[in-house]
Amino acid sequence: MLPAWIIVIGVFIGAMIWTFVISMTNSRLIPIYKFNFFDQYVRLMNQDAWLVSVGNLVVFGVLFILVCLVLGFLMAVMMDQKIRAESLFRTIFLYPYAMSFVVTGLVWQWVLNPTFGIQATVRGWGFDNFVFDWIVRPDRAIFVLVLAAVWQGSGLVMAILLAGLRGVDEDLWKATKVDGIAKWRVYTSIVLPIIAPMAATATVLLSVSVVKAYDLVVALTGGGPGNATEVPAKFVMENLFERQNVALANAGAIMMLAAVVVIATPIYYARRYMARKAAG
Amino acid sequence: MRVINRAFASVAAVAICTVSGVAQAQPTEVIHWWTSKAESTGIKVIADAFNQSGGEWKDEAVAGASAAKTAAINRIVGGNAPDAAQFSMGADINNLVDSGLLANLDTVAQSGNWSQVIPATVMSAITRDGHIYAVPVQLQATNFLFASKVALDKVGATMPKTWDEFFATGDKLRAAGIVPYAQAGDRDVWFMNTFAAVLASVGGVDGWKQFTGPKGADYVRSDAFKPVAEILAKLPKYADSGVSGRQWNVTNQMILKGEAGFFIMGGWAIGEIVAAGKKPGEDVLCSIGPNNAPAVVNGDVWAMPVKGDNLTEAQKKLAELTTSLEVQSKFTTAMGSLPIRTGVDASGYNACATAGASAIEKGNSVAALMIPFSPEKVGALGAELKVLWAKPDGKPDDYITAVAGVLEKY
Repeated sequence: MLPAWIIVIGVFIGAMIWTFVISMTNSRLIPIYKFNFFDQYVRLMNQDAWLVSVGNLVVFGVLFILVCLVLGFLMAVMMDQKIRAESLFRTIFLYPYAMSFVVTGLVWQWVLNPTFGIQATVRGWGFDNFVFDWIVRPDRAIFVLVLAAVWQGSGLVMAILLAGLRGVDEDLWKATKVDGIAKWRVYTSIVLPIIAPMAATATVLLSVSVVKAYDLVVALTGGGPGNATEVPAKFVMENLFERQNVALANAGAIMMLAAVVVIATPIYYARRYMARKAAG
Repeated sequence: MRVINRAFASVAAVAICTVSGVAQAQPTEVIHWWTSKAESTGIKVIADAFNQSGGEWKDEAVAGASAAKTAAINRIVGGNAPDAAQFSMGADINNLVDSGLLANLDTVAQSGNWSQVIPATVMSAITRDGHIYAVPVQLQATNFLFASKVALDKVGATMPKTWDEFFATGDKLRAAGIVPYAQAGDRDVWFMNTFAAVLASVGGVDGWKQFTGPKGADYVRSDAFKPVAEILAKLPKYADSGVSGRQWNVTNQMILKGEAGFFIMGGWAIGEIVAAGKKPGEDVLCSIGPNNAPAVVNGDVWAMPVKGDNLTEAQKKLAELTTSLEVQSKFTTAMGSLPIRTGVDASGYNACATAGASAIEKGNSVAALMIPFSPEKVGALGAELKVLWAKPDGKPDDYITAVAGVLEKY
C-alpha cells in the first residue's frame, strides 16, 4: 500500500503545488520561474471573460444540481413502487450517464439547432411560425446546457438514491402503514432524512461535474452564442493552449480547485456529522 | 531509465554502423499537425525529398495544431527536442526564441538568398532582433470570399465587386429563400478572420498597417475605420440563426449545396471544395475579399530547436529543401496552399489559389493579425467579436469601442 500512497501524494499534491507555483509566475508559452506573486490573480479578477464564465457556472451549477436532485429523487421513488420491468427502466434512466458529455453535447446540438433540429422539423410539418431557438439566444442558451446536463446526470442520482431507498427498513413502512400516515409524508419526513448521506454523495458528484464542465459546453455551444455559455474550465483550456497564457490559466485552475474545496468540505463534514448522529 | 535506454540505443547504433560499414544518417524527427488526406500528401513531398538527399525522415504527426505544438514544447523544454517542429508564423515562436531554445538560421538564409526570394512580410515574421529563427514552409491567404455559383445563378447575380453589391445580392438571395451569408461559429478565431477580411478590403494595405501599428486604437476611432464597423454590424443580419457552434466545414457544405450564398474563409477551404468533387472558380466562385483586397497572409514554419552548438546537417538540409523551388511548387500544389517564395511554377494551381498567389507575388498582401499580435491579443479580439455577433442589435459604435479597447488593453 505504501508505494501507492507515495504515487498518489506525489502526483496529485505535486501537480497541485506546481500549478500553484506557475500561477505565481509570468509564464506564457513555456514555464518561466520569474515570480510576480498574485499579479495573475488580479488580472484574472479584472477579466470580463473570467467573471462572465464564473457567473454562467453559478447559474448552470445551481439549476443543474437542484433539478437533478429533484428529478433523480422522483424517479427513484417511482422505481421503488415495485413496478414491473424495473431493470429495464433502470437501464433506460442510467443509460445517458454512460455516454460521454461530448456525445450528449453533439446530439443535443443537432436536436436544438434551429436550422436542422426540432424547429426546422416542426416548420417542415407546416407550422411556419414555430420557434424553438434557445440554443442560439444569448439569454436562453444556458438553460439548454442545463437541460442536456440534467438529461445525462439525473439517472445517476436516481441510482444512488434508489440504493438508499432500498436500504430503508421494511418495518418502518409497515409501522407507518399501521399508523395510517400518507405515503408522501413518509417520504418527505422520514425517508428523506434517512437517505440524506446518499443525497450528499450525489451532490458532491454533481458539483464536481459542474466545476469540470468543459466538454459538454464545447460540444453543445462552443461557449456561445457570444459568451453566454462560457465556463471557467473552457477559459483555462483556451488560455493554456490557444492564447499561450500558461500562468493565467493556472491561476484560473487554482481558483477552480478552491471552489471545489469550498463546496466539498462543508458537505463532507455535514455527512460525517450525520453519520455520527445516526450511529448514536 | 532514459539514460539506460539511450546508452543501449547508441551501442546498438554503433554496432549497426560497424556491421554495415556505412555511416547511417541519424533519423530526423519532425513534429507537425498535417494529418488530413491532402496534408499528408503534402508532407510526403518534403519527406521524400529529404530521404532522397540522404537523410532519414522520422515522421511525428500529431493531430490538431495545439496538440502538436504542446507535444513539441514539452519535448523541447524536457530536453528531448525534435529536429524540427511545425509552428504558426509569427508570435507563436517568440517565447522559444526569448528563452534561447531555437537555432539561429542566419547562415542557411544567407546561402539560400532568402531576403531576395521570400516576401518581406514573411521575412519579418521569421526574424527576431535581426536574426532568423524559423523556416517558412507554406502560406495561406485567409480572406477568400467564396460564393455558391448555383445560388448566385438563381438570383441572376455575379461575384460582387464592392460591399454594397454584396449586400444587394444578399437581399436578393434572402428573397429567394437562400441564406445570404454563412459564418462559422465554433471558434473565436473565425469571427476574427471575418473581421480581418473586412478590414483588409476596406482599409487596404495602408489601413492594415495603421491598425497593426502602435496607434491602432486611434485608427479604429477615426473616420477611415467607420465603414469596417458598419459592415461588421450589418453582416449578422444577413446570416442564418445556426452560426453559434457551427464548424467551418459545415459552413463550407452549405455553400457546396447552394443553401447559402457567401462565406469568408481561408484557402484551406479550397481543399475541401476539391475533395467534394467541385471545381474552385467554377462551382464555387472566389475572390480575395470584394474590392480587390490585399491577401491577408498567414503561414506555417519549421522551428528548429537547438541541438548542440551548431545547426545540425539534417536541420540545414531540411531548411534548404523546404525553401527550394522544386519542393515548394510540388508541396503547395499538393496542400492547396501558397508558396513562400517567388518564381514558383503556378501552372498546377486552381483558379482560387492562382488569385492568391498572384496577389502575394504583386506585393498586394499583408501579414495576418496572428503575426504581429500576441496569441492573447488575437484571442481577446476574437472573443469580443463573437459576443458582438450574438448581440441582436449590434451597432457600428459597439464594434469601434470593443476593438479599440482590445488594442489598448493587450
